[in-house]
Amino acid sequence: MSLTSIAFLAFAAVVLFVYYLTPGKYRWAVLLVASIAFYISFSVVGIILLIVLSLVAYFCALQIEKTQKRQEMWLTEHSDTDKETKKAAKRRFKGVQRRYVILTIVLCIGSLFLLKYYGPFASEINRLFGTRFWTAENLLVPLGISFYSLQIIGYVIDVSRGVATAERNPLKVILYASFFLSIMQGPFNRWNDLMPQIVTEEKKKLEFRQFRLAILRIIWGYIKKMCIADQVGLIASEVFGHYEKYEGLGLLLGIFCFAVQLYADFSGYMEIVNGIGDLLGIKMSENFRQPFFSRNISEFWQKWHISLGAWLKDYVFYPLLKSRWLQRFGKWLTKHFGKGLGRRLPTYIGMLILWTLIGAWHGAGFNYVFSVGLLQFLYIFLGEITAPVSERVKKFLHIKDSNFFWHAFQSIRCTVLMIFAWVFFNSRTFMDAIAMLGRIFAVQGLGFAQLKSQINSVFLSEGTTLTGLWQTWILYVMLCTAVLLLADAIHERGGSVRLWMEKRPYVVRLAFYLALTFTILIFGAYGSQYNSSDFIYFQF
Amino acid sequence: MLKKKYIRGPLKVLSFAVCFAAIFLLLQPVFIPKNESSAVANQFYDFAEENLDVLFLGASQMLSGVNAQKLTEEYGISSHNFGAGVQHPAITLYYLREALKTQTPKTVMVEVCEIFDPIEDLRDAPTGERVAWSYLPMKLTSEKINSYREVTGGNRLQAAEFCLTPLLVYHSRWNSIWVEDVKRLCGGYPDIKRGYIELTRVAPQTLDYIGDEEGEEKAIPPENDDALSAIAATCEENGIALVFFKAPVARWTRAESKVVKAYMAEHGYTYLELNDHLDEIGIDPETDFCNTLHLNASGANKTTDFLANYLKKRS
Repeated sequence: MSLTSIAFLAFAAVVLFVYYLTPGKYRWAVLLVASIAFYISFSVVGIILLIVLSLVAYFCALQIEKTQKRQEMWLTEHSDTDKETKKAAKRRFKGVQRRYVILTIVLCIGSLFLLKYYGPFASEINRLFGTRFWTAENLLVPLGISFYSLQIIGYVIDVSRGVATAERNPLKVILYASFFLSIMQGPFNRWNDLMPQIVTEEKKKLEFRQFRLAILRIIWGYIKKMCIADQVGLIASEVFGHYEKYEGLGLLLGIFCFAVQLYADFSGYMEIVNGIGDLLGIKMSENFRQPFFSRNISEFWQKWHISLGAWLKDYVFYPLLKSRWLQRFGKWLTKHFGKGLGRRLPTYIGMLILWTLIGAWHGAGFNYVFSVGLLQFLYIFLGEITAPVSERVKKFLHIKDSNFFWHAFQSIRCTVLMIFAWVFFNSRTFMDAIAMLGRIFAVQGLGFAQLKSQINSVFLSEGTTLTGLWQTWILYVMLCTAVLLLADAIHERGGSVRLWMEKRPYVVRLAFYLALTFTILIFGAYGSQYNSSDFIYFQF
Repeated sequence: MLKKKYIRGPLKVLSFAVCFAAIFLLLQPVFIPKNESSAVANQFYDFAEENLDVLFLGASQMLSGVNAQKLTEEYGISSHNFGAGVQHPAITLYYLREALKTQTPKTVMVEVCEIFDPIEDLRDAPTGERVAWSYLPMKLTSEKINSYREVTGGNRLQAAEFCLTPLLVYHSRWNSIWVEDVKRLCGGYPDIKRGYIELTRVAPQTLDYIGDEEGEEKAIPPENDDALSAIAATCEENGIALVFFKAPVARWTRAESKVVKAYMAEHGYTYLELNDHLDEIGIDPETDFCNTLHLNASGANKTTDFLANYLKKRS
């Protein structure tokens, strides 16, 4: 059930209706049934793994909590024992807890590795060494495994950290893992953020204002997905799919279109699910905060796919930095090479691991590990080591951080770096990306005539009586980019079109609603003339 | 106060719905693709000047092969072409029924160039798109939905979407909508008169019909037989004389003609094979064809003269 299908809209409407008809304390059950039904609409077999892993998490979390209670009781009972015995007991109890955390991690990451990474990995080994390892061809990657496996791990770790309490009802853990609004592409919800909103006895009412604002958000999400991502994506798919036919500007246009597509697609999805969440009175994590206004790559990743970065930081990066071996290594470095290196190198090692994991999370190919992993690390690393130089240059040129043009320059630089990385991200292989980048400069002149003829032949159906329509596509791409930038610029300044529109007279609002609706109807990529396309992050 | 609140809400929803419907209906005709077939159908719907003596039905070979305006003005036989680029017998039946809602012609003449085409062939992508042209300009009726569904083999929902909300089907034309679309909407195609499409190009042809080869023997698919029988029954019910005919074209063989003649004789239908009268009509393969499948203006005028005499003799 695609999010852009009529079936999904009908499904969401039914869920909403039943949800508000049900008494507050049973509403979580409505969401559980909806989530299971939604999941089954994609895969019947996949739900089994989801349930098994949820039950493992349920069991482990309970055992961890029991151990914590036993520890507390032991400490109360043995309050007069000496410190060393207490420490040993604590270590023992911690060890038991750690075993349950490790069991959850092994099972979740093991399933994720087996189903998502093992096949490509084994195929590559077979290709390189002529071996005949099983390549897991008959195993399908279950929907959302990259999302729910991490969420489950996060839940168990939170319980072990004492941040969350272990859930007594296994069905609620299944609901947490399978929640239909975040199962496909996130966001990564933390137990403590999501579940208290779902499992509540409070009978929330759907206010008309809340309804109106949520619907507007959903419509904006559909505009981003159907009118921007899917339309602009036609050019991106064509150029990336047949890059060998293009040179110069044609390739640059395709690459630029992919950046627009990726942002509109992913953020459009988030607008839709967050909008539906608003309708249900459930506030989910925001995944985007105007990333293209970032001044550097670190900031970009704090504004792009926020929940993934935050999850990996909290559950991988910080524990790694606090780990005994890295701390010891830091101390050793400080002793032998000084404070600076002793502080920085362990952090860089942690960052390298973090970025490799972010890259690998996206896919098994080296292009993923490189584009949104190692290359990002390199950007940040180079940014940090050159920071003193750029500070000096800034001082010399009397540039202030608040200067608009300086900010614009930094944002454009950051965007160009990300677009460069996405060439690798969206290419079939690493070498394809290299070849594609090489062809940008292979053309004599700008390749404008070639671009024109390609767009004419690819995007204009036969029988079109008018010539020169390729310009419409270029204008459309520019318009889409402008709309996205304008919307982000308003949000960056703390504004909101929805809230602004709310205060306008009814006639203006009516015109606005009609304009949005007809924008989707006319510019949306749906119907027989288009191949319906899934959200890009759906595959991860 | 409470009352106001309860009235205001539904009123707002209603005003949105009304505005939405109005804009939708205004935009829809702009997005519907337009070609000569649209002009032919629109002209027929707008035509109410007189009751027709002869109604011509058929595909493009009829549209460009019979000059209804000449027939009316020079011979006093009030006539009109009511065809489309693709007019399979099943579509012809639908056109006939549609025409009989406003007209009671004395004679109906049906061109049979698509008599051998199985209905499945219409469902392939390029032909399927051409079939859409046959339905797009037609008025919205339940017969239109049913006929479209039958011909395209789609489900009722798809047919209803196509017929009721073509904007949703053709919205992707946003990138090719231009002034031309609006012009055509406001009565474009001034050259088309009484449904006759004049083709001026001259392309010399070698005619299969007078060649040495008999040609491949073909069979009339059962669904076409059903449609032709229904056409005949409809004409009979309405007291209309029915004549099937074949316009002169380069790609029509004697073998095909033989099968059609045998079929018509077997069912007792009147059939006029114009390719048997090429000399009488005065068709010159060097000057009277536009391409292998269509007569040009010169050929159409000669054929029309012949048909006028034929119709006069019949009456």
